[in-house]
Amino acid sequence: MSSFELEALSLSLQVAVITLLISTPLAVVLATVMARTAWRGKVVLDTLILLPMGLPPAVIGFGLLIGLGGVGGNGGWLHSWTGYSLSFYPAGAIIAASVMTVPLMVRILRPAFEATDPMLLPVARTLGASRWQGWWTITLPLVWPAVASAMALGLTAAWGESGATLVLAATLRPHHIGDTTAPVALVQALLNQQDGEDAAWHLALVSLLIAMAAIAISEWGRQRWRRRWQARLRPVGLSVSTT
Amino acid sequence: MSEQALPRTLSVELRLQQPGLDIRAQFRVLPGKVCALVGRTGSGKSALLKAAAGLMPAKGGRIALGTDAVYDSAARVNKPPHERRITWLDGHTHLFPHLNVKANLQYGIKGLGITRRAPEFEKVVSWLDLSSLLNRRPEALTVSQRVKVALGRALISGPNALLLDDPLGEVPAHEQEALLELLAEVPDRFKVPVVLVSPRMNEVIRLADEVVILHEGRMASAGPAAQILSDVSLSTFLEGVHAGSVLEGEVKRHDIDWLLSEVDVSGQRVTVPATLHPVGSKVRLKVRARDVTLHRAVPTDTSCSNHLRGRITQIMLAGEHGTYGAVGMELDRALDAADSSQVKAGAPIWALLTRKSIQKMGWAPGQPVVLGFKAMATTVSAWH
Repeated sequence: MSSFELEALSLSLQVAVITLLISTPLAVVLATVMARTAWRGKVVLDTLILLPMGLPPAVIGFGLLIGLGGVGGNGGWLHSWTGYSLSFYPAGAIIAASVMTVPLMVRILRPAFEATDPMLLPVARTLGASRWQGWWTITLPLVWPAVASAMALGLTAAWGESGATLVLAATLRPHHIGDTTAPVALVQALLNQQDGEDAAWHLALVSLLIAMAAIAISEWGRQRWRRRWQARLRPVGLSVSTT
Repeated sequence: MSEQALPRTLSVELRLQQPGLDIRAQFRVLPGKVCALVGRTGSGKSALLKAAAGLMPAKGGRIALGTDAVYDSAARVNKPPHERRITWLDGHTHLFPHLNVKANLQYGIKGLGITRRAPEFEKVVSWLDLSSLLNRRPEALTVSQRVKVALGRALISGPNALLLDDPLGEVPAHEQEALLELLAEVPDRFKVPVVLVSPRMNEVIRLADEVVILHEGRMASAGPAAQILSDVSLSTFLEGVHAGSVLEGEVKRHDIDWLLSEVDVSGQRVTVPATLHPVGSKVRLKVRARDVTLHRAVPTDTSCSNHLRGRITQIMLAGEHGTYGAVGMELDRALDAADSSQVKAGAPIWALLTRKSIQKMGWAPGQPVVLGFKAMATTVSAWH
């Protein structure tokens, strides 16, 4: 593999990991709020959270550009308020990936959280568990398969995010080659290089391996979750006593 | 955490605000006693329990264990649930699905790394007959087994009080009796104050020492169980035509030939279908008020096995629109009943009659009366 390819893969990995570190807590908090609380206007927040999943990624890239970067890289609304202008890497790529990853993770976590018996924690509290002990001994062991599943899929989404990233890359650094994430590098390789197809193959294969591993982990977490969930929903009166 | 060596009395005096309901109630439960909160759905029973456990905010009042307040709005005391340890148990059991039975049972001690005065694990396990299930997951248990594990988990945690919110609500009817007997042993074995909420009157009759009646968030009545449960105005309100009186008595004799049992109530004999309660044990008899007939003298040609002597104390209108009459009576105490002196008399017994029957026979307060009811019209339950 050429240094161009290695650099793209390493950048993609950095972007994906940082995106995951940002999105996971955010998605857990949002999913908890959406699953456990009821208030007027909740549907509006729900729509806003899930909106990026429905929009064409290029539109999101355009939106980020208008809001944060400005067409041609000469500053958007953010620049006019704070003087800060978005650069493509790392901030632009990470923000673009996070916007796409958080809705996906919320979508996976929320049903899992909703299926958890909301009285488990209160009962643990009356048995003597402090808030922190309850979280550590009840909440975390119950939700971690779902969180692991969401993180694995989130990683692939962050790794593969190309629509919004491409718009940012194309507008913020139109003629720059290299120094970009794997999917964008793949496009650049096909467009610009003599041996572009080889590079594209390498990048595609590595992406394939990562996706397969992540989806396997995600499915494992989901199955584990479902077993527990179905066990709870089974009509208990019909279960057979062996005593 | 400092531990009080002796179990303490639970005193609750609370004001709560629920949507459309303003709840005020006050009750005290001694260690080893059971107080039942009774009332229609939506009268605020469960909300009171939740607030007592610290799972729901209260609007004011005071909750104390002995002399220690765990909640006092005036003194700005509001301890979190884990410091109150007023433990919650309801019909859904809420066993922790990621832990096996043993870890569930020990959650209140080992799971939290706490050593405290607690009933020994093995004793509770053998009492509840759970030793063969310790390695099972909760999902592999039957509903009855789940209730037992949840009860064991609550007791092993060494609670200061136990709140039972319809604990047998999910249990199939034919399995409720066995669990009810286990629940009845809790007060004496563990000496904790117990508060019970149950929609089934047989559970209240079996377990309760004191009864508090809640109606739309307010206390309609409160007092010793037999007295409250025999008050016809309260029980018609709770149970409609199933309203009845509760008589406390002692099993005197079993008639093996006819499969009948005789129970002494205020020195008079009551025949009931054979019960398994041994001679000498205390029982509560429930007789529905509409199953009671009134006579001037003991009738001779009748299938009714029970004729008790008493005196009419009051006559009032009952039913939604005063459509029928309720006759309240007091049983005569037989003079030769020295051996039943520990059984308290005095709870009224009620008959529901049509106004026409009352008028025709000219019943009036103060008159002696013979009240009859069939053996088959009585339900017997044990009473600790």
